[in-house]
Amino acid sequence: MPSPGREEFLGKVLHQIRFPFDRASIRSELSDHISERVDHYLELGYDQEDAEQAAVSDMGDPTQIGIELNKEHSPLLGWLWKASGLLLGTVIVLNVLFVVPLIGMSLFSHYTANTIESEIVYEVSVDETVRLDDRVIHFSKVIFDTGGNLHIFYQHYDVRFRSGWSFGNIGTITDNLGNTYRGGGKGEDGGLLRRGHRVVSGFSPEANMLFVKYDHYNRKYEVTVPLPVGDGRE
Amino acid sequence: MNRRKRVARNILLLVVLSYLFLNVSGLHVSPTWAHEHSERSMHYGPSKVVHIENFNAGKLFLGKYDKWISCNPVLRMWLFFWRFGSSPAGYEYDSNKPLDYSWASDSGHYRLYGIVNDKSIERVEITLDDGTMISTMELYEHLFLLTWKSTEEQELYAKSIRGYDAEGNLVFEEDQPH
Repeated sequence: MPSPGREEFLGKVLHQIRFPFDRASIRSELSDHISERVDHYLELGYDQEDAEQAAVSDMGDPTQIGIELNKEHSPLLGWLWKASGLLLGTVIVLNVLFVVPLIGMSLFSHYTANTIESEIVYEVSVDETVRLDDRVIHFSKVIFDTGGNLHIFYQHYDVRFRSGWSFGNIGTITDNLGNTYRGGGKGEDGGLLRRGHRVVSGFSPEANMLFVKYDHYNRKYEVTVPLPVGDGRE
Repeated sequence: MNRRKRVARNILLLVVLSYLFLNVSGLHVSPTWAHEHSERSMHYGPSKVVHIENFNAGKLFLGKYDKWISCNPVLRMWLFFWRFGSSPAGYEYDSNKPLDYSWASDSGHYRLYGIVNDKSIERVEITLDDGTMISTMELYEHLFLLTWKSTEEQELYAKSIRGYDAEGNLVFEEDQPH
């Protein structure tokens, strides 16, 4: 059991420590050090009480020790360490809740994989990339099915990887025969890299050129896709 | 690793992870940043903001971009953050009408906004479905904004709009704006 002298010494030292979260470790460290000194004096033949007294006396002025230790355990640095640790923990939790699911959706989404129910008449690989502000849009594939539907597949992402409004309106769909197609379905998955799919119903099987024209709020782009006709169809 | 290095490491990780979180979550630390990002993400603007008005859920940014007028709401979230409200894109106004306007709502918070083309109009007034009249004499580079809140029991729409000159003469009137 610690002697009253040891307790008094430790109390005086800890009184100088202004960062409270360090007091327990300082106390433990100093107490261990005193215990080592006590063992040393016991080996020299001192009795327990004298050994405690000598050991504490060897430690020096408790107030001065406390002042020096307080400099090493800077309260400012200590609170910064505690606060930054707490904030970091909070931000990690927020990232796990919000960021990880979005990355997961981008990596594992198969939104467009099984959305064509009719037989495919032709499929055209497209490699057209356009940009709107911070959004990069890549048109990847066009499929025409036996139901008369033209499927336009695209992906888009924000160059700053910021989330934002979805991109439902890829533009006006026309063909080389002068037809303009309105309506039809569309869809888009979530995540940082989003996959989109626009379905144009009643698309002319005779058209050999597809145009996607975007013209809104002083932003414009146009994507032209040659389509296979006649014997050119696979 | 000593405490100084731990603090430096924590601060560095905080900056990186906070940036990642704010980017991906759609939250912003400033309402103006939320407004600007909302417009850019919608591929609209940047509009010239002529007035910012507080409402219960956040702020309204009244602005003009080329031939469009917008009133973009940004909403407060979790005390410190701001996020997009409804669509920030504006409507194309008709400069031939003495007064042209549009309206929108966010969770029961309604707004009617527009432009006064007839310079003699100095006061804009609307009447809601329940007979309540709201008016404003504040014009911000010829744009105006009127706001109201529906009750839980009743959706309140504006049923008429009028524009008056300095003497109180009726210059413009239109029924059932919605």
